[in-house]
Amino acid sequence: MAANKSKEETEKANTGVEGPKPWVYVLMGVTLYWAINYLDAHSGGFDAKVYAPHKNAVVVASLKVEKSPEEQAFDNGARIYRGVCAACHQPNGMGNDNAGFPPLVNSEWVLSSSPDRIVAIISNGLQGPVDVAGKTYNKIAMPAQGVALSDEDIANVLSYIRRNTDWGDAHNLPLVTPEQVEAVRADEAIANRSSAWTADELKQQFPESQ
Amino acid sequence: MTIGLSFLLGLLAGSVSCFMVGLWWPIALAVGLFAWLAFGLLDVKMDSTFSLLCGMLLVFCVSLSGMVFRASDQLNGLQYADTQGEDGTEFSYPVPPLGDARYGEAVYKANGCAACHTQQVTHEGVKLDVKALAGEKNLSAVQDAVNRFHKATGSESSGGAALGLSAGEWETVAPGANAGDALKARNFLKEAGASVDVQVRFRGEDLMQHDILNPEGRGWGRRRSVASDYLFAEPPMLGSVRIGPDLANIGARTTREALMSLLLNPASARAGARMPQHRFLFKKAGKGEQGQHIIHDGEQTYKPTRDAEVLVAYLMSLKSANYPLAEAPINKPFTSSLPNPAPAEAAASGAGK
Amino acid sequence: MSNEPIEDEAKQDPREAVDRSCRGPVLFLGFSAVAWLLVYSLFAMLAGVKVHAPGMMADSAWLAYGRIQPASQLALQFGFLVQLGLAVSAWILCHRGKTVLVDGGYLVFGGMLWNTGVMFGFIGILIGNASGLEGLQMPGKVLPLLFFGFVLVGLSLVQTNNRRTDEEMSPAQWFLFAATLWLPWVLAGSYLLIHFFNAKGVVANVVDWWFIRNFASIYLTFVGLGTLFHFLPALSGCRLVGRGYAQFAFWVMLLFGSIGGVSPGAPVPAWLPALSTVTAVFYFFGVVAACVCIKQTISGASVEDNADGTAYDLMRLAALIFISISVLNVFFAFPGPGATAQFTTYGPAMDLLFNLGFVGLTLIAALYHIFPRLAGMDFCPKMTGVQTMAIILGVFGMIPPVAFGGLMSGDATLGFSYYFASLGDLLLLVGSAILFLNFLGAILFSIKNCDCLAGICCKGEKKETNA
Repeated sequence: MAANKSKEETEKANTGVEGPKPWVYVLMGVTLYWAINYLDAHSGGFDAKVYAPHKNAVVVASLKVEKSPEEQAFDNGARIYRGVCAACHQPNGMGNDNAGFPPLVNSEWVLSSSPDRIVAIISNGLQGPVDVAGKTYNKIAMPAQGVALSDEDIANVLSYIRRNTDWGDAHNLPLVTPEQVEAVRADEAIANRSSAWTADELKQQFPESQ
Repeated sequence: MTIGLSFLLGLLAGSVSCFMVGLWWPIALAVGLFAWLAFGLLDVKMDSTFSLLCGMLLVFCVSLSGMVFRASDQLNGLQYADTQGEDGTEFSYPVPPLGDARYGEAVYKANGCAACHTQQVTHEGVKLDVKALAGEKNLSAVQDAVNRFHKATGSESSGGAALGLSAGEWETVAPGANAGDALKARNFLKEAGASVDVQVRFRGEDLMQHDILNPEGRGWGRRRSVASDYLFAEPPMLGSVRIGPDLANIGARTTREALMSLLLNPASARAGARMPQHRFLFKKAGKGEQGQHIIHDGEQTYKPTRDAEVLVAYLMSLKSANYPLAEAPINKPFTSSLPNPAPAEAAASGAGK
Repeated sequence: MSNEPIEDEAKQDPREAVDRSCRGPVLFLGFSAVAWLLVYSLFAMLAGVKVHAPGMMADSAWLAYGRIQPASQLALQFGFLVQLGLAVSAWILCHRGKTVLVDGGYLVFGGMLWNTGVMFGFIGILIGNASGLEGLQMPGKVLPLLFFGFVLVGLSLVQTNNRRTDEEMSPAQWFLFAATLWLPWVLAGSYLLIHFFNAKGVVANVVDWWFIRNFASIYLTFVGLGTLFHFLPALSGCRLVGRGYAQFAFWVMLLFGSIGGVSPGAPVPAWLPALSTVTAVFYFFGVVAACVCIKQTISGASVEDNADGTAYDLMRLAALIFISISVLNVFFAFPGPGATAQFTTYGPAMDLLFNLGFVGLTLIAALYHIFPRLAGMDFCPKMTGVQTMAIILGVFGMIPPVAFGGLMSGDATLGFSYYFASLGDLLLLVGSAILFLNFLGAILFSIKNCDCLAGICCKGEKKETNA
């Protein structure tokens, strides 16, 4: 039995149970190294949001517009205008003559060199007759928005309406900064005021050339 | 090598790949298993069906979990994504097929349109365009950053940027950069305080690039297709052969009338089309019958059946690979939201009328 | 258990008993398979005709191109390849194990269930209930039927293998055993994930690609390799050399062939195509090892019995085709070349070459060897010659031009290659029709002469030649 077994074993050894030589395993190891590097480069970190050819999620996230603070301020102002002001003054800034909403387009109030008057209007509201671009508007008062909007919001929306060239070439004024708005609103005349302004009061309070 | 020693080597390989290389654990498990087998294979008793069965079960679980369950975890929970239309309006994407389009998908599936048409837009590479906007104050700093970038990458200024940046205008600083260079440019420019825009330009014959950089574009989509495009498809009929054109975005390229004619008699609608006629989707109409989509084909007049109508509705609803997503942004002509020119000139000329 | 490799004469079943037990089930499965091959050829021919003459049969919804093309694929893969694979597996497991076929009735009943399932699937696609997924076009409800049919057959095969005389299993038995277990697991997994648990969106496609990869790279390849590992040594009278290579091939192919199959442009995250590329490279190691084993075994040998000459040559040709396909697959698994080849007719051409040129050819060659021994009569030699040439010419006349034309013309047009495709389809139809007629005729003839079926000896002396 034992003699048979060893004879069969030698037979078996000669009849080819040999497998791949060791160098094959070495080659597979090298291929494994290649595979790990390949996966590192092409698999996007096994992330669900990374599609070929991007390398990883950081690269994908970096592919977006980086806007400067001025651009962001302008965009924010546009957003606030759409949400707060456009209901009355219309998205195109033309207002509504029948309802008594004055236009902002080519309005001398908007385009004055200093934004103080319109800061005041936004903070406390406007009542009484007001002349805008040759017409008089007296049907309805503008409510105060100063409680809901911060200095930065007011600065942004004013930047928007004064810089929106879609409304006309004249709308090309420098951006309004939050510091400017804060300075105006800190003024006692505005800070302690609880009633809406009239046009004459504004001209008196903030005398400057149109 | 003994089984014990090879097991230890496999354990080492698996641990290294999991913890040091950072492979996901079933893949690391597979690596360890492979290493164990590789070194100890000749000792494995292949004569027992039980050991074969155990090995096969292990491999099956690795395959199922490593590929299928992982994909399912990642993709089964996809939700709406926010995107923008071409006019800037924001909406949730994708838009589920409504009305007839829902039934049309079943007709598409039943008639096996996927045997000849794909519904996936692919691309062959990506180039990145880096644009910069300098204000008046930081113009020289930004120009300096651009020069440093070009020196660092060995590239040259091109286009408008070669003439020097001007304040308040967007200029392309690095067109056609690869990802590494684009990242470098972005960092240099942000340091200098400029606004930076990095746009992805998918290259490839499938895509709609109306510029001289990709003249062979077929206009089948504006970016590659991603999993979110198929959120409502049951199932996504991606297709694997393009005997006919890709249909992922067919709704944006054609009209209902064109599709009706094509279904009835493709050879007359498009010269050289090898698409078989689908007359079974139409029924014969009376000679004098009027109405929408009555098609005269030679001597016979046809009217679409309900199947044809819903199929065309479905095809017209296919407007995918058109809107930017986080994982596949779209190159669009960049418009700054801040209008030009510089306000200094306007103030100098005096505001008002 | 005996640890001596010497055959234990007392334990093994007599050859006549083995053949008698195999005859009914194996011939039944073989006949159904050949019938499905004919169905496939007919419908593939029809589909090809529609590309030439778009107006033909355009009034019939059942014969729309998009319906007959997937239906014909179903007939080829599930109707022909799987069934013939099961028939040949049964025969090989019996003869390798020197045992009668255990529970042959399960084989027949399971085969009937399988045929019913394939038929429901085929008709279901034609009437418009296709599932829309590429590798699993049959309506979802058909899958449990297929699963249970296959499991029944598998029960018989596994029990037969367990009853083998020698404890030691040869590579042929490993591969066939693994294939027999693998397909039900993969079918069940796909059915549950897609239809039962309702995979959403592209997850259904991922499961589908996983199924296609497993079906082709594991199931069909293992059936083909198992058949080659049995017949090539047996027909040439050599012993299998390089058992370790076969063992290496088995595990490497199993591990890496079960993952992947996602094309480079697919709308899924980047890791799926990357993983597919990596596993394709490792899978190739296994393929090379298997081919080295085959080469070492039969190098310099020739067929023992001239009657088996055709079968032997066909199997060697199939092995050559297999290694060629594998080299091409590795090359086109990388994103660069893969992007060139994807969506062209290269893909379908390669699939057909694999299905018919490797697995189909191997199984038909095995059938040439098995049939005379079971039915007691040979195929008509002249008709056999014609059918072999027709099938080979059909495969080679069609596939290289279609593949090459696909690569050259790019992924937006169908070039000149479709002329070759139709010619090849016609030849394949002729070949499969002749095979079917051969099979049918031989069976009818042998049924008429029942006494011929008794006493089959291994050399198949009772051969009838057709005048």
